[in-house]
Amino acid sequence: MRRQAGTLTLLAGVALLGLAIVGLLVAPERAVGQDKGKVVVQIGGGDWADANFEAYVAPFEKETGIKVVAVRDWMSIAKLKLMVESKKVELDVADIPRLHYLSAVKANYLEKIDYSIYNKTELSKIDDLSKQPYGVGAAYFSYVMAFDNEKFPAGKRPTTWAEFWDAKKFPGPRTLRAGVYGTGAFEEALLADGVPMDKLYPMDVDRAFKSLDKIRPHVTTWWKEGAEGQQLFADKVVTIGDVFNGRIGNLQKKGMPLDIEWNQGKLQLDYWVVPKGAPNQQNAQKFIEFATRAKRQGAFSELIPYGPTNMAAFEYIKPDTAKQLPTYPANLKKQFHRNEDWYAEAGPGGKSNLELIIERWNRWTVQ
Amino acid sequence: MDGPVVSLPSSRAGAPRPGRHSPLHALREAAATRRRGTVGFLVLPAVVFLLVFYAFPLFRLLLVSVEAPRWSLTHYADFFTEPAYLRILTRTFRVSLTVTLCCLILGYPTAYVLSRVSGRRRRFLLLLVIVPYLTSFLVRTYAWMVLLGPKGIINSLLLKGGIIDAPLKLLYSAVGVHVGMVHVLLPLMILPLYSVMVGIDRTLPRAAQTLGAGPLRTFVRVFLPLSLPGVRSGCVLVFLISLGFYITPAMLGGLRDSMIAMLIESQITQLVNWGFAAATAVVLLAVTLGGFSLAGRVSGMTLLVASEAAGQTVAATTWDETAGAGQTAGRPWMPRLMHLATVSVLGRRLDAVVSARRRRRWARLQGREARGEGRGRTALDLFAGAVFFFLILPTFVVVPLSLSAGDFLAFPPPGWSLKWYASYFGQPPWLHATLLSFQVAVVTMLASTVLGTLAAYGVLRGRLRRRTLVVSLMISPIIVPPIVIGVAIYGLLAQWNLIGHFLGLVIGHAIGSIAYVMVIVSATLAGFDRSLERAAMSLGAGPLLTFRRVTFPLIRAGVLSGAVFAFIHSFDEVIITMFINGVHVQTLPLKMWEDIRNQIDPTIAAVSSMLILLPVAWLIVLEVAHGLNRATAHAGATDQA
Repeated sequence: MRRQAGTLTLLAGVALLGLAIVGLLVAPERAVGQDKGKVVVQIGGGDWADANFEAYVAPFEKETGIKVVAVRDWMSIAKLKLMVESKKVELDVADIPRLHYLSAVKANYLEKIDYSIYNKTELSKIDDLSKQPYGVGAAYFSYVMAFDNEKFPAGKRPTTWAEFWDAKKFPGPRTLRAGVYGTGAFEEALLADGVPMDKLYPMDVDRAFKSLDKIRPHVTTWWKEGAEGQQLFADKVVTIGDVFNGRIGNLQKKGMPLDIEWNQGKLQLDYWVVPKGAPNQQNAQKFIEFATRAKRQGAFSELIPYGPTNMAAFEYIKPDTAKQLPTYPANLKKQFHRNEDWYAEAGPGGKSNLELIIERWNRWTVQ
Repeated sequence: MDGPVVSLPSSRAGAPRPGRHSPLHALREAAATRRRGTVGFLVLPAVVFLLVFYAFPLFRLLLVSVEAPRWSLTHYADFFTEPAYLRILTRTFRVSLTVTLCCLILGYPTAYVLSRVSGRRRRFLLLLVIVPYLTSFLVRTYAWMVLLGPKGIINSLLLKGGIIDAPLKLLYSAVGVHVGMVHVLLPLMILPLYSVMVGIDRTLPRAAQTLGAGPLRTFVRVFLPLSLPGVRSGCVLVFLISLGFYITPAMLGGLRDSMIAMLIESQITQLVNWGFAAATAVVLLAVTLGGFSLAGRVSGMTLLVASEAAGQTVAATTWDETAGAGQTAGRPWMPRLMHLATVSVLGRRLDAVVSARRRRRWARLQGREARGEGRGRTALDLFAGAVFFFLILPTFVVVPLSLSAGDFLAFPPPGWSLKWYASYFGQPPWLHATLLSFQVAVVTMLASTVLGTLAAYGVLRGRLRRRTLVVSLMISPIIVPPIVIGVAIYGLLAQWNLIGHFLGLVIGHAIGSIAYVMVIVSATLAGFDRSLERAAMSLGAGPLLTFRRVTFPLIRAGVLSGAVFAFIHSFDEVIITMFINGVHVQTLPLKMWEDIRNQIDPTIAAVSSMLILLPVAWLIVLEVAHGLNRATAHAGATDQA
């Protein structure tokens, strides 16, 4: 009898636990429910995500009352494809680089931007490259050379990629971006090999990889996400590298002795987009419109030194901050624009140059 | 084909016994046989679940890999004609092989020492193996990042000590991958080895020595062959699980250290090349299953090789020495010296009959044995001590880091504070992820414990056709690489709108959890005296009553261990989850994995430190379960008296 009672107690306990769990599960789902006033926004990672949150997400919620579900993750062209093709779109807004934007448009993965809700004066200040039918520019940012000042004091540091490649003259653990997303240091490799900045495209991919061969032994690790490159400098794992300017800018703000070189920087643009079939499209359009207002973009640039796409934003940016932005005229003229159109072009065999270069990168890594 | 299953005690069930020929008895036996047929149906829920959510998706994966309606082998051709991919395949093999060998070299002497000590010390040393085994592998891998980094603890200490002038390249290199993988997999080598060694009849090596064999010869000719089943189980388990490794090489390796699972992941998340990814996954699956059946043929066993290892592993974790130990069960372990004393007493008794010459030689032999043992043992103990240190300590480096006052990971920390714990508790995403992981794990645990226990009972007590197939289906998720399962079930769950859904996560996790429950409960079921069940049945108890009153109380500890493993599997799962989590559903391991890649701030060290406490909680659960079981057995004994 005693034993039976024990078993029954155990079973009852398990059943109760199960009920409790089910209760826990049902409750939050009901709370979220089919609430109309929400928008799911992917805000990236690290400092970029923090800046997005503070400059756009929180004020947007405050102004509109629309609940923003902020997802701290990145959108890749692959995830977009998975979502859209499986008709399982849970996301309303994401930001993607122009490199992926062009492919996404070609594949019809994006909703059209509703420019009718924009204020005319605001819209007129947004630059043309940023006003696209399926996306609005979020920010300009650059891949730049960054140094640890203690190891590379002013005057004793490389200023070109050719010098960066010279590990004898400028020794030190290095980092470059991995090519897994097609955003590797291919242009930098060509520049290091002597290709002039205005002759980079169409890209000589073989030559780029041959040049990467030379730097490979000196690269401690190849970063994938922006925060990773930043972390390598923060932890002093590397003393010199090719990383996003804003990430270094934020480390400088924290007092880390770092510097960047704008010469031969690689400038690029991210777009706010709405994936095809997004569940809360109206709110998504509202969010993007909000996030491209001059005042908001000004606040964003103060949080992380990336360039606004709404030129009126400079009215809200402190002069000191402006000098740190990749689109500041003195910085701009030292850099080049990555030619995303070349990446979107079809190469031999019908695959785009972007796909081909990713495959090539994957093969190269295991050599 | 039914070898392993038939070799379990169930095969003896139907054998006719003398003195049982009364007609009434025959009737009862017949009824019992009929019932066994019905008992077999208990496997159905688990089998149906696994057919739908596991076997069918794998089959579809195969179809995708050959471009099903068009039928083309281009993806396979692409794979096998591209030197880079073949290089990844051979590297995967090489790394797995090296890791297996390292685990064996480190694990064998350690398991030997473990099997030789007794009582409290054995318990303590087992803890040193089991705690890392139960600790989240993400935490363990993360700890190695902290240890091996250019500014990590090892390099800092070496630099400070003046042993090196420049940091060694440990992290982002093959060294890191190997160290991390060996650390993660070593318990899976030690535990099966231990459970076999502890069951080896001690009198056999002793007999060899008294017959004049030296310690080395005794080891090579007697102990080693007897321990081979453990070697085989451990090696098969470690090798096959290594093949599918993803997180550890991705975190600790450099560019060149790609393994095949990483190739599959990148094909999907970067190129959306499902066909090629599916083909690669099928190659990995084929290699794994091929290796498995090869190992099975060699040993005359099939799929139960791993299950036995895992079962015995768990028997070891519950400290149920009877399950793993066999012959040594039930009698107190005698220290080696006492055995020697017994032998020498025996020797003195023989004095009268043996010649003086023989007597002298006898004494010399014994002296040699004792001396050799002494020296060998010190070296062995030191070696094992180093291995235990390697197993347990690295994980704990995350604790001081989590208490750092600095903003970045630095060793030694610039100051002390609890701010990273505050950061964890202050961030809703961390808390939500933790809550979700607990919920998913509890539901997965409940579901898979029920399905797995029923299935284990059905397999061992019922009459099943195609038993090997059923068992293979249920146990294979332990060795099928999670990345293959993840890729396979993505499509199905997407179709059923279960991506990023709670139920989808439970389904994805239950596939593996059922396997663990099944294995552990089977081991327990096979380990207990069936005559108790038969006695109950012959006294007129139906199968349900027999199960409730006799079987369940006896296997309760096993069921609870199974439940614990089911929970851990789900709570720790990251690779399958990575594919089916959708956009804004984040489990704790996934959040950790993304944070490790994105922002390595000490919050993750705080989370890791808290996760180290979990295994301790599990051990308490297991201990209580074990205590319950002992109490039940005790109660049963007094009832009989």
